[in-house]
Amino acid sequence: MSAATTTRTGRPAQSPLRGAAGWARGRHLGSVAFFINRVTGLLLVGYLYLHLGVLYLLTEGQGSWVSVLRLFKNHYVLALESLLILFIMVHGLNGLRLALVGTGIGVRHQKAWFTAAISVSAALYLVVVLAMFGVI
Amino acid sequence: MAAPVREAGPPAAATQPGHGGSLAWIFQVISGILLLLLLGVHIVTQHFVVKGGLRDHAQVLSYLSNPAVLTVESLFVIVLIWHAMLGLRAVLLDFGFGRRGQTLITRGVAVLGVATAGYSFWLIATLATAR
Repeated sequence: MSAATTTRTGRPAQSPLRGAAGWARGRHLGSVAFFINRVTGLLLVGYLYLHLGVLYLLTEGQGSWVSVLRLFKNHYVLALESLLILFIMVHGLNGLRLALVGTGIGVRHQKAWFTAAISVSAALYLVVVLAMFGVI
Repeated sequence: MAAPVREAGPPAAATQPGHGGSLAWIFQVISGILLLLLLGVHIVTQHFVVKGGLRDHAQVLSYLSNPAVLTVESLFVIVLIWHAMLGLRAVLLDFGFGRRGQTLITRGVAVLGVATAGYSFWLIATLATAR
């Protein structure tokens, strides 16, 4: 029985999602959602180390931190920061959906969950961008 | 009989006996839910309620000298690194390494996590006591 177990995307569970190519192989919603979570997760881990590196400048005193604050007022940097917010929201809400579906909750409604996660992320992203650029 | 269907559960490569895959996935879910709360608190308190979006140097030191803030930020660091390392391990395990490779990945990720946590706590302690 266990050897016949498959994932929702039709992949055999015994030869699972092998490598990055495997994540993107399927066109089903489950594959897309899984791929999005993997990619945003890796980007967020990369950002974690960048963030920790920048925070080191706080230990070097006020002068170093002032240069950081100046850099973060640059519109290009702000645009990148806004993307970070988008990645966090997509990873968080889609991750919540994956956790629910993975534990058997709301499996039948996973498409609606996914649409809701992406829609809420997009709406919040828009609000954050408008706030970051001083529009609201 | 149709094969049972599962989605987004622990990858099978991570669930082989002795590698704690199912347990890791459960911890990943729990830490993820905690992160939704802690990251929300972190972003709102560190950025959204601050004029201009970022605290200046004195504000950061003052903020971190508050024991309640220190506790929440420390908890945030632990949960964040835990979640990130479990996620990184899951991604690496997806590449289908053998048993020895899986063990090396688990150990390597654990070392990276401990080093990252050590650096983070050194940073927090340095800033919290800098005033």
